[in-house]
Amino acid sequence: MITYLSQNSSYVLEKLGQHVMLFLLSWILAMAIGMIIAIISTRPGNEQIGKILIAVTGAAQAIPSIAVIALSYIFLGIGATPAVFALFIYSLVPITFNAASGLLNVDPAMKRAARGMGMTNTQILFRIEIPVSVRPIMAGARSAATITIGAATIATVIGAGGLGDIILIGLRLMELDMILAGAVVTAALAVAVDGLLALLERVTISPGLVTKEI
Amino acid sequence: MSIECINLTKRYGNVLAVDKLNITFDEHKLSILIGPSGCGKTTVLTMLNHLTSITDGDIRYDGVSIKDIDPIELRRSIGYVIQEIGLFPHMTVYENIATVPRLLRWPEEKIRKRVDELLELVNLAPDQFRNKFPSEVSGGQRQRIGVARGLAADPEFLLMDEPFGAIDPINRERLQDSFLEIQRRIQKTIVFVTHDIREAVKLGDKIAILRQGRLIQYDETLTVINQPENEFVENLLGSDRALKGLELVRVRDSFDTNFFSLPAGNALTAKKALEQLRAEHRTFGFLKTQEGRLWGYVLARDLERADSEHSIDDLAKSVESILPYGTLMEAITLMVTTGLTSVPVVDDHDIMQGVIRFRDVFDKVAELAGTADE
Amino acid sequence: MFSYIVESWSTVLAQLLRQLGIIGISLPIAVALGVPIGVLVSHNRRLARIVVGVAGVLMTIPSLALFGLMVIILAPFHAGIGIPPAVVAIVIYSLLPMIRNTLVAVQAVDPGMIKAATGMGMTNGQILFRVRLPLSVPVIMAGLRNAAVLGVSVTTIAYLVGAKGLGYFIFAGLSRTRLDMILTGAVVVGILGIATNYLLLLVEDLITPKGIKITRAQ
Repeated sequence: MITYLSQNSSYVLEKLGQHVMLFLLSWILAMAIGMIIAIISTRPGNEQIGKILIAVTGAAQAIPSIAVIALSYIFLGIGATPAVFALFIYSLVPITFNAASGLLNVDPAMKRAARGMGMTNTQILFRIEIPVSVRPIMAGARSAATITIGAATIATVIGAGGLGDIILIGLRLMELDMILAGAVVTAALAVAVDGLLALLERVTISPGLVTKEI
Repeated sequence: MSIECINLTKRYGNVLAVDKLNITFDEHKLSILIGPSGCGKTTVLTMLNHLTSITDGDIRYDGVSIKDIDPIELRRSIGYVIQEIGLFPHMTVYENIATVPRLLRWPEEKIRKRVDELLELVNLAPDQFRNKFPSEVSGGQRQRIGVARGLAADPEFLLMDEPFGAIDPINRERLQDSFLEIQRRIQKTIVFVTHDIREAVKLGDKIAILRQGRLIQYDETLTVINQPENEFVENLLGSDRALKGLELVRVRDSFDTNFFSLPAGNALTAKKALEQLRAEHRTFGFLKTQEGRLWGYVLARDLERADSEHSIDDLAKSVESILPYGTLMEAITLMVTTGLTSVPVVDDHDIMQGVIRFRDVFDKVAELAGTADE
Repeated sequence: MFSYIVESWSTVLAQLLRQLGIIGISLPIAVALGVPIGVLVSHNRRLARIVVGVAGVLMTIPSLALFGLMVIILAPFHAGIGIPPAVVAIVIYSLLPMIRNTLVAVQAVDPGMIKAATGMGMTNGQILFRVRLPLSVPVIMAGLRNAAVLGVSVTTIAYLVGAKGLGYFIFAGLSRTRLDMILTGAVVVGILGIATNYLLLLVEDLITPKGIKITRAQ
């Protein structure tokens, strides 16, 4: 595998770059939109919508990525764009589920005290609800990141590019080196991204929320 | 600031939670709102800071209708402490207390001083607690922090909704005592909701009793105990309301400034003292120095057995005394423990002011219970 | 487009059954492997963390790649295509949920219960099988559910290495550019995933001791 990598470094890097783009575009969009949806559906008065949303996204998490990718192909054809769209929808589900659940579970007494002290609804959202929900929100983000990087490899079947190409070609040619290269680089990417997000979580979370692990 | 409720009404669909309430809360006094669940006390409280909308009637602050005041600004000028406290777990104690001052954009230096001041006020060492997180402190400490948070921006008045409700009984007593101390110092106008009549009697200057949204009685605490409006109030106070009253009546209202005493300072022999006691048909007497200070007491029985020329000073026993500020309940407790039927009343310098007799206390109980015939 | 699914419903059913078959073979193996490993490492916190970490990394290997590796590795045993690589892959992916959930379950048993059990004279083995495991069943079941949902996804892709299943509709459809086939495949697979999750959730609910459900609701 090492020989393969060193001999085809530019090719691998190009694929890696495509893969990262597929991941980033879909995941960042999903984070943005997912958070907005989660926030809107958990505002006072919208609790019913929030609960339905959580039920729907909870169930939808069981849909395999290949199904989403296939559906995207049907409506958008082949290439990177349908892939990004599919991956966006695919990661939207866990992100929205975790964020909405987290926000809905914020202690009502805290929100009541905050309102009673004279915070506006916006202030309550940004100073209380979101900081307290960092754990579940980040959990959703990390989970989404890992599975999206994985799903992006499958998107190769609709011509998305990315590391999946290396694996698929290796599969066709029965070239162990290529398959290994694709596998290792993808796994390494996923682990690295997860590690970065874990670091981000540790840095942004308030020490007051960290329960001492036994 | 004067707080006036005028025909205050709150309707939820068909249910009348608060029914034409008319009440004015006195400044610098702690007013209790009490009643069985569903009586509307929490609804009234939450209407005062406009967390609950008003269906009918009005609340006026210094004459200005609550409808003409911006609710956000109103809430920032009122302290609000709820039963669950609702401390923010992701903020330190300092940041929690600083919440409203920061909303009001106080300069950070002012906030820093204020937080330390408040922590001292609630008996939490600032250096120790400033940077702790709510998860690192005990329940009782969290309650105190909640009170400090409510007082942070030096509000016009304080709204408290069963703030000590979630604490175990022992710590609750302590918190209530601390709170009384605090109130004695800061003299805030407070509207306090509770369902515990003991807490109401202990803390309240005035008590407002609510039932099904209506005001049944609103008076000084002792008056409510003395003269309950109706059977409902009597039941609320409990069959031991007379005893509760004893905790409120001060010795100074009931003691006798005329009292018998024997001079201390080696002025009297046992024989002479016994003669005086016998003349007054007494079984004991208090000793008083020339300056008037309490010296102790002697029992006639001891005088009989002693050498007749002995100075009574040596035979005197020390005795517990009570300040005029003490309650009749404390006086009775002393009587039971000493076995004497009266307790000497002294001032801060131990100068005797008078005595409080068992008979006086008993008369008071009867007066409170309305059975002063026998 | 929808006429296809109606016309070929027998094929759909056949592939569905094959898919379920593959999953059905893999899950017991996953349990038989994952639970004992979880139990074994539950005593050593550091070892547990390492094992979970490794299983986690295994999960990040893309399924296509894992299949490819399986194909090559298993070829000498004539097991390189078809069902074996699919089963192996599912088992490997299921290791993380099974081990992690077993760990959580075993460690989450109340120390007070264990003290009572020991005081009553139970041996460590008895405590394990009569107290810890029965109370842990719901959590382990959740891991199994996780694994099953994974299995649906993995088996679908395993079509590319010769495993029969619903992947047929999607991938054959892709190569023949038959949108109706693809749609059928995607929809059925999606529904299968949701249904599997939901049904196993019901089972989980059924086997959760009533006492625990009441505690949870409180």
